[in-house]
Amino acid sequence: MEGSREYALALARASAGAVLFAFPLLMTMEMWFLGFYMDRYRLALFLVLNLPLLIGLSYYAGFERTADWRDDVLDALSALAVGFVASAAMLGLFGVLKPGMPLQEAVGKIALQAVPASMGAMLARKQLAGDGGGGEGREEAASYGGELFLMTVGAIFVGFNVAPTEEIALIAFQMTSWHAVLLALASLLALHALVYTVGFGGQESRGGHGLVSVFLRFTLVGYGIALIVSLYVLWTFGRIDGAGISTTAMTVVVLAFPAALGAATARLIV
Amino acid sequence: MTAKPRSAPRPGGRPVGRARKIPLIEWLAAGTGLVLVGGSVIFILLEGVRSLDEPPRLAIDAEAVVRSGEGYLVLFRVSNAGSATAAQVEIEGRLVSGAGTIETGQVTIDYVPAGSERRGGFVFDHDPEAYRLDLRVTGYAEP
Repeated sequence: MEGSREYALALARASAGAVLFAFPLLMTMEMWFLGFYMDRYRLALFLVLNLPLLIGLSYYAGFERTADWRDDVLDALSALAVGFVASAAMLGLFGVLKPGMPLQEAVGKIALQAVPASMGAMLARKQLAGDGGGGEGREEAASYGGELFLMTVGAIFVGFNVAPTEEIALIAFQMTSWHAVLLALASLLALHALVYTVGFGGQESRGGHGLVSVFLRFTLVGYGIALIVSLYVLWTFGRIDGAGISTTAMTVVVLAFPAALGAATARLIV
Repeated sequence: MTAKPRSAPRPGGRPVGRARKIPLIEWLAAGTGLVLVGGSVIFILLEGVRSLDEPPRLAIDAEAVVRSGEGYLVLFRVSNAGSATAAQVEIEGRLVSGAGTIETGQVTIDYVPAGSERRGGFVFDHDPEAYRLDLRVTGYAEP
């Protein structure tokens, strides 16, 4: 039963990862409220879309080395189990879940938190594994498509951490159009600097390509990913419902700043 | 500490490749995940189908009157029988006698989710038992 013991260890590590990565959101009150008032269809879609994301993550950097796609699917589901249990336990400890609370309120709160928690569970191996924890994943040898996938995960992960907060909308309200243009430029600059120094695929992927090539292939595309991810997450949380086109654009640019940082540093997290 | 080759099976570890037998615990963990996420998605979708854009339906009940220091504490419960969440629910409490309003109080409750209830209290100087207690919701905002 060597395999079982090893897997139980991986699950324990995954639980630690879930709590470690999700606690900022577990301790964000907007997340508790969104759990019961956000649109039910958008919440269901969010949960469903999380699954392919986890399967992809499992392939590149899962909590155990996987043998085939079936293994990735099983690990994604296990990460979800860990995410649900960890979220329920922490929300219970924080007194957010109370006895006598209607099921729909509790399910909404837990399910929403289970998304970041399951991602944290999946990322646990890379972040928490000691020696013998399985070493490096496949992300070192990711293809261009794989690199973009990892950037997407990074953007979602970091963007998600601030997306539910009131401050994102508040910052957008405080800014003028000129601020927004400057913030977009600053995001691009930060993304480019990070991509170039942190390195995508180490030196080999960048090797032979100049500054301009990296800018076109990673920086611009990465910022595009950050914008799309921001728009999707804001829509999911109902943050841009009823907002005019300019308010929407400003809010997306605001959230795209952390999302771009996440995309650029995906290599460090994933 | 010795470096292990990346793809070769480790001694004592499970072999890498299709031949690997998946341990029972892995099936159990994955099955739990499938049940939890599948169950939640179905439950949330059903809730979405059921709700049909019905506005919040708020009702207030006074639960108890307790002496509290110099005054009287009236504990109340607001429940929302509708299918939408009400935010910033404004509640007004009045003590009324034949001569008119004796005392009023205001409370704002941040959220009363659909199908849920929240509790709060009014503090009055006069004994609510001696007058008619009037509790009503005066308004709310969409979250």
